[in-house]
Amino acid sequence: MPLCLGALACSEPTPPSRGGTYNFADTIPPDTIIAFHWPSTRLPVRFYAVPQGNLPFLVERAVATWAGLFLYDEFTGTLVSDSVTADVIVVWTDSVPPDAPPDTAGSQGACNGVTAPPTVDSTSTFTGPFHIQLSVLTAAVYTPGQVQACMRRTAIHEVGHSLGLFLHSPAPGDIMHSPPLVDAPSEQDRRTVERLYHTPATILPAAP
Amino acid sequence: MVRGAGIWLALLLSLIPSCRRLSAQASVQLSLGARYTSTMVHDSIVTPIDVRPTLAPSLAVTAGTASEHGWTAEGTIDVSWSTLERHDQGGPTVGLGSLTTLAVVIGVRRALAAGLAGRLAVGGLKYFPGENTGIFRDGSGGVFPLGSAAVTYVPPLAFARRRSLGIEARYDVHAFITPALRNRGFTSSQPVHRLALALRGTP
Repeated sequence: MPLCLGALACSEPTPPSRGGTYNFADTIPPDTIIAFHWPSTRLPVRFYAVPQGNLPFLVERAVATWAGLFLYDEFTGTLVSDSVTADVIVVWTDSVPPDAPPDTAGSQGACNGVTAPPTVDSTSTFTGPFHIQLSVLTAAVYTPGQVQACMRRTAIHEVGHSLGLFLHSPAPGDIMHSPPLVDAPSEQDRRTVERLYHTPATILPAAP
Repeated sequence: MVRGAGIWLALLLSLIPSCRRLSAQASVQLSLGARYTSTMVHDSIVTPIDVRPTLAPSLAVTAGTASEHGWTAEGTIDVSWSTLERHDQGGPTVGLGSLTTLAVVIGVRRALAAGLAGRLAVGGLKYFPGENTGIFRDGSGGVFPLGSAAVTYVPPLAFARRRSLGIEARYDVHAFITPALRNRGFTSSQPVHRLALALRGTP
């Protein structure tokens, strides 16, 4: 036992390698870098989902998915019932899709999502909340299950933008690829968002 | 405090009155103090990150046998409560929730000099996080083997001698890792050193 304790007291483990990320910071030409993440003082981030259909479920699931990637609670989010106090507002663009068990097969192209960051003022501070819109696409006929499968991954993708992942991943296996082709964040998504949350931000969120 | 640790603490406190009825040859002592714990996780994401508990109150109950040839066998239950914190180098310190630790050790104590005694012990330690998130997302890692050493000093005062009232310094070390850390690529454990300074005496 003394030998074991002696070895224990002297050894220091090496942190795991965290290589392999995609670019998350946008750039305003020529050289203004836009790096944003929610600071620890603004957690939990407040999400408002308009109470129509299963949108609150989709948003809560997406927020939990991202929060679950972090090892040191760098990001947490919560659903709020009042849009006035929200940091991120999520709405349906037009029609409300019926709730149904998700059917992943053939669900590509069944829906779309858009995230609009707020404008930035002269002090490099966002002026309001993020806005996310989710919409059902009607160019082809999809079952309710296919629409729901598309909505689940698109909600995660758009919430990812609101976390500060402003750029798309070039890798189809990442949830931040456009359009998202997978149902959950990949290891590269995780490494990227981890790196983002330990990178000094150049933009601050709007005052609460 | 989490329910599991609460149950252990209630059990620990309930033992005190019954232990006092033990044979006059045996002894029960209580110690109350503060504990420092070293870094539990050291990581590097852009900048170095350390995760460690805040300075914590520490409560321990020790039962010992009669002294034979200067040696005493002892068993100790030790509980402490703290807040786990993340320290980002050059950045903020962020609270990660409450953390309770429970350690049970058995060992031997020997008088070293007048009023001074030393103890060596081995046992196990378990963490009870307030929330199953972050490094405790996939569990707390079970019971960690623990090595412990302590030194107690009882000043040469009548009252102190009568109640065995003294100052105790307790050190222990264990190797910490959790399933979530393993899943993220940590391949070896982090040695965690704990040091408690406490007042110890017969209740």
